[in-house]
Amino acid sequence: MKKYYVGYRLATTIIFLILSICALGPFVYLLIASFIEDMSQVFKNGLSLKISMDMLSINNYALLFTKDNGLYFSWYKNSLIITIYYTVVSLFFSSLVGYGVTMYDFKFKRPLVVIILSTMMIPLEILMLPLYREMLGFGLLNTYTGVVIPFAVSAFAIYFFMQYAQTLPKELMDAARVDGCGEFRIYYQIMAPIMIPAFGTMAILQAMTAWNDFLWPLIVMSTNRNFTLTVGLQTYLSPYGNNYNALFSGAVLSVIPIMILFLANQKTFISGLTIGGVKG
Amino acid sequence: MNGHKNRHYYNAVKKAPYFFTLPFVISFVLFFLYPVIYMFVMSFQKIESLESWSFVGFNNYKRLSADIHIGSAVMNSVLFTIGIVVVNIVLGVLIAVGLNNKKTLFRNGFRSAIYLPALTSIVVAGIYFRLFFAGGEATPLNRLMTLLNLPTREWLYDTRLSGIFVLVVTATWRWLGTNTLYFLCGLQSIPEELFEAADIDGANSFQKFWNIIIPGLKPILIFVGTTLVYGGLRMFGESYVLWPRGNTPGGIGVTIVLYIYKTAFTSFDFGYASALSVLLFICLILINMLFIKFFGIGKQEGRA
Repeated sequence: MKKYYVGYRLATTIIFLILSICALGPFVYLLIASFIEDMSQVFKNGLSLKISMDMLSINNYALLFTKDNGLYFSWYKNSLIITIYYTVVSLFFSSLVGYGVTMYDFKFKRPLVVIILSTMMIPLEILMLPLYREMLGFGLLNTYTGVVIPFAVSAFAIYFFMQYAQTLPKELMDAARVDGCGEFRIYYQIMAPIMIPAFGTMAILQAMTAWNDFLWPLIVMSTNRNFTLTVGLQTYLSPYGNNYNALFSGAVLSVIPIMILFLANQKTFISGLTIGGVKG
Repeated sequence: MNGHKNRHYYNAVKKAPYFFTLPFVISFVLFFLYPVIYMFVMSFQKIESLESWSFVGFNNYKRLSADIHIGSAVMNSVLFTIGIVVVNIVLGVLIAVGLNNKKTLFRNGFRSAIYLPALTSIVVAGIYFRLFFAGGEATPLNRLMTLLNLPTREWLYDTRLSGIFVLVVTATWRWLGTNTLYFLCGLQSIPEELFEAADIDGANSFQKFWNIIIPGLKPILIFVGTTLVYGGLRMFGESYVLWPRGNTPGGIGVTIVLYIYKTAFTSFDFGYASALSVLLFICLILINMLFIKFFGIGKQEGRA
């Protein structure tokens, strides 16, 4: 029995070490490569890098400031603005809807719930062409609003707030009503503050979604200056000129904000992610 | 006086939910219902430019049957979906069982490590895996192949299956962490007494896995399986970053959505691309109905 214990620990530790290396290897590789100026190695041999200390330099990071007049940092700015814009708008509206659907009984409640859930099943990819033409019609191509607004009232976020709202104390609502408090004041003065943990979790998840989003910004943003980080970095994927130098350092910098957000809020992050799975 | 106030109060409670849910209704009409209808309309149009178009009846649909690229794209998407479902479920469950076992060392550390790739964008994954699967003799992967006495490959451009392999590995790197968390969460909801009872009955690890863990995970397995099927069939980013512009011999790695994207935004054939979208839309609805019929997805939530 004891021996089995040691054997189990040895085996699982080795297996998990290998898995962790597979998972983290790309991060380590990108980080190292971002400090190497001579990229000819990369073209020839794929991943192989021969590293010696004297090869390391921060020139790839300096390059981000000079390449195309610091285009990279306009992408960074765009991504930041879109992420904040999307997170704020989607939290505001999705929480209202999720709360309203759960806390009240009204005529169209059931059909509404069914519609909310079924829109979660149809992916954006199907609707990208009509949505593109619609954005064109609204004059929203190449704008932040064009990237944000079609998905701002997110069914996933609504579903999340619906789950959370079920735990809210309905007695408080009646008490407030007796005191003459209006329905919207009940929401933003009493109920919304109780839902702050839900806002926190959802903010992190929505921020991550917006920051890493690729297809929709690729469609909406068509001029260099307006690209988001993901769309912009992708244009450096061709080994032309000094693209790769900027690609590696740019990729490293692009991962950092989400990494910090995750490491600072690991618990919230994980509990938020799994809520759909547990209930579904 | 009092009666008036009561009626007002009653009205407010009656009306409030409609105001609360109004944002969704507006968004649904503008960014879902209208686009769905518009997609059907566009699929009957020939769109020369954004200003000039004409209705061409079923022309776009007639073209579907003669298009040799569709078969290839559907094949890629379906094979990718099968690959991603099998790999993510098998690895995800096994990793979760390992992480859930109290005898395993450094559980939190390993969990975080395995989850971290899920935080990155598809572009970051694409940078790495394009190099990982590069064709040179000296790449680590091809050196391993030589070591095993296997032929080296130009992985990205070799065969359809090598392309699928590359896609599954790239996608799994980013997707596995989240799926593992789902399974881990599911495992933690299995009551401890079941395992204790099994120990008393002298069940071995395999019996426990098969008779307690798998049935206990059933709802999560269905949930993860469903999201993987949808995620697989709609996959675009992995394919786009690995093969920019999607010009590959025999359509290696070009999935349905990438093909639709190319048709619309590279060939500017919006009408035909819309017909392709309609086809995909109908397929997804059918799959959706199958899932509901067999697994009852949506029934539970419908009660919420």
